[in-house]
Amino acid sequence: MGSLITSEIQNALQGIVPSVMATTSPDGLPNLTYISQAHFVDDKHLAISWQFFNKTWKNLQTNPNFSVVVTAPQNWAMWKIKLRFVELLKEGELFDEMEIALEAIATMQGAADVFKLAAVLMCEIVSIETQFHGITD
Amino acid sequence: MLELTHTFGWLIGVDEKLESHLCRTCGVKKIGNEHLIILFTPSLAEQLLETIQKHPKIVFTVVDAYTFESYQFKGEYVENRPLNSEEENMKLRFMQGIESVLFDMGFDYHGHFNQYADLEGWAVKMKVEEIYEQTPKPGTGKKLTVK
Repeated sequence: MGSLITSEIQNALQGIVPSVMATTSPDGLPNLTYISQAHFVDDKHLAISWQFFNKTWKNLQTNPNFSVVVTAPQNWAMWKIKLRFVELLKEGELFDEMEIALEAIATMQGAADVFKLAAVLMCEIVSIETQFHGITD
Repeated sequence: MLELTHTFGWLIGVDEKLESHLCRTCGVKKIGNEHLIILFTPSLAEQLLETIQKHPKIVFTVVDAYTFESYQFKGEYVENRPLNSEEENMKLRFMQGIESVLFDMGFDYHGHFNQYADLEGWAVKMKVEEIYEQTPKPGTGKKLTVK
């Protein structure tokens, strides 16, 4: 599989416009939460910042398949990325990198006191679909 | 908060394969004590409308783009229909609100935001059963009301 994450999509991962993460319980109840970061790891993986998940974490433990929608602020393009949860990380180089990035996002949004990284969800990319191609001049 | 136009909202449903279908919303209004009319653009999430008619458990979330105050409404799909003239105006105000938020964030669309704002809107009626606070802060997720 080649890289599904294009440079355009990477623009949408920077956390400027909050992304959303939709998980599902085994009995089909949806849950949606806002995420600060969807971090490009490699061609096959994204890492999601975990700050306040409760119901989300419960859902992931029984159904690891979920979706995020990311939005590029430059042209309002949106992509639905289907992911599969692989591993929870609470330390390491990636965690440290995302913690620093989250501090920058939080400072920019005036929320440095509440945006603290609890863990990182390492996820496998299953597929990507375009929801909106973006505004053109 | 529901009437504020500087908000981002999402509508979500789940199909029989437990796949979620979700779409940005473009307006919401409260009907009585139990129902919401939620406006969205079906062309952005083509399977959402079909999904929620078969599987009526749905969620609507809304977040204030400036303060991050946020709530999640859980409940059941009731019906769908085209927008009436009042709702078309509401959609226009919400779209202008989103464009204004983006402008404040430093993104000027130079009058081209209508490429998004003019997408056809549709209305979904939802019966609200539970409301959860979702503002990003420690301990968030508290249930505010119970059916």
